[in-house]
Amino acid sequence: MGVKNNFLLIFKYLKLNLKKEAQYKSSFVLQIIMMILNDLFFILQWIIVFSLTDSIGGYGFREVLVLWGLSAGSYGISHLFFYGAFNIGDFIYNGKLDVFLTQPKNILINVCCSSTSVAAIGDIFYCFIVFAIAGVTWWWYLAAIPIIIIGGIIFAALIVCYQTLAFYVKKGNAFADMVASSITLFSTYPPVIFDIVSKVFLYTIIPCGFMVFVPMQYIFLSFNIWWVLAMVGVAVVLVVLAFLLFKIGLKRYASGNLMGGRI
Amino acid sequence: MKVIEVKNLSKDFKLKKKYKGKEFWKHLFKKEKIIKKAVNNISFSVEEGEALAFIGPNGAGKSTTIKMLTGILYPTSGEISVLGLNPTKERAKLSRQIGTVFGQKEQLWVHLTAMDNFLFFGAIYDIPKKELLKRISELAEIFEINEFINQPVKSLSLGQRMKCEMVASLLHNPKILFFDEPTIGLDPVAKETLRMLIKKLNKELGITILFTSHDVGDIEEVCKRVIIINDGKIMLDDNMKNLKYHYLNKKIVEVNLIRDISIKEKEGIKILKAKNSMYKLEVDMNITTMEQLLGLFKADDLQDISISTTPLEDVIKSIYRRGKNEKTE
Repeated sequence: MGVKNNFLLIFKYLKLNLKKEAQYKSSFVLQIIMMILNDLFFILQWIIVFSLTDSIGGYGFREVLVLWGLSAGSYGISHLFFYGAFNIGDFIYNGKLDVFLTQPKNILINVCCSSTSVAAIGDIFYCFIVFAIAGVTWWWYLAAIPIIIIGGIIFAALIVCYQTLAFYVKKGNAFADMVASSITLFSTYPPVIFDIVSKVFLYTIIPCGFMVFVPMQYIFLSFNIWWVLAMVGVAVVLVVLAFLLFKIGLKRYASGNLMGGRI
Repeated sequence: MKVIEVKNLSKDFKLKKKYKGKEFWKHLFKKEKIIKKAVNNISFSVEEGEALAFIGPNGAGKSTTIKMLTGILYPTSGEISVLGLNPTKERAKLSRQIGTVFGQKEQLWVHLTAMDNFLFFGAIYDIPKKELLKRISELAEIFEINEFINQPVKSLSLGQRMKCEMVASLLHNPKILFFDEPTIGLDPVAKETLRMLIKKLNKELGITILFTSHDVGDIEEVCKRVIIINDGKIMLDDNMKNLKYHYLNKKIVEVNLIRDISIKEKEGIKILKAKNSMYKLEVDMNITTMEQLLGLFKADDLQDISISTTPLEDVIKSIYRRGKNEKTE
């Protein structure tokens, strides 16, 4: 009942957030189109790279496009459903959690879902556009849906963990912003270019390996059930950790008297 | 029946020591903390159906107390029971039985209509759709918001917004309503309307009200009991009648006379300031009357007169001073 209720709440929030954003129709559509165009420009750099070489450690243009698609899709899901997670530090630092704390629903879900990024819809579209450009088979499209959902959950949960630093260090969420940028940066490069030290980094501190590299390597290019289970396991562990860290940190919440409203 | 019980409640905030001027670099190396006692060992209880005002100057600890009672803040020490629940441990359960209205923090989504907001809050409190629509319609009638219920909140006046905030906090039929400076920034007419509505909620619907404000008018009209808090401590816990009798019955009268006439102090009339033909007098209405005051000069000599109540801040200060004196004795 509780889980079902929380799922319903997530979609209720999404519906309301989109309704809010759709008040400004032109801006709504423009944000989506601009994000697709912005993402497409990055393909140019890879066109140039692959005009000089056929592959990078076995990764051709097609594989890199799929990596980009998975990365943008995961980013899109996290920012569409859980955009509030990326602002938790601000909520803590400026005492804006009060409204959520007086409501009976789970505070973290409430906060994470409280806002959305319309541009993220462009990222999700972009995922399937690059899949089309890459010319992948139909089951890749189908498989991409659960992959980017799990990837989005990993991304959002990880960011929550880092954002909770704001309970202990003033503006400690700045580190979370760095992690978010690093994830988007590293997840678009073929994993073969990273050495062992970097790989440890990419599978632990900023686990974009589980978001993008694992599904690419062990679902699309070959199949290994253990790696797939590991990906799901990482998502579950990060979600549990995010709830735990947020709950512990909440005891240090100091509220505040800044004037403010929900926009 | 007691609905709120607070025993020896305290809340400390750790603040970083500020270094000024040339010593600013010490911030980098020293980590000296200062403990600020926002709420200092307070105890009180509230009966079901009571309307209690929590007043005090800025930083007195009013909002911090309300935030601990609603489960927003964890207390440093002490015990709280609200409707038999511990707000820190049973926050979610408690939130279904209480409502909050923060004058400084809006809970409504300003880009959406009031109706959209109410439907969303109904979902947050798991109210069945049919029941929710009925409740919205009832509250819209009481609060007279039907005219603008389908307008985006951002286009409403502050008074209309506060009405909608109150409706949103009443959707789940709470037993206690916490108001934290709900009339802040409102014009006198909107203030009056809101006060009447709060009074109605208390009297007709039997909702227990806990109210913080700086405005003496709010408190006078809405509450029967008042707790004055300063520096985190309770300075006075009394009923409104006694507070009015002892502290708010002093009027400040400023008279401007045509001629330079000498006014002499009488029992209950104290001269605070006198300059040429202008006088500032403190009149204790428990001892004397306005009639007696006006008898001090002829009506023909009067050019201008203004009468005001002793400012609440002064009342609080005098109570605070009294508290301090009692301590030193």
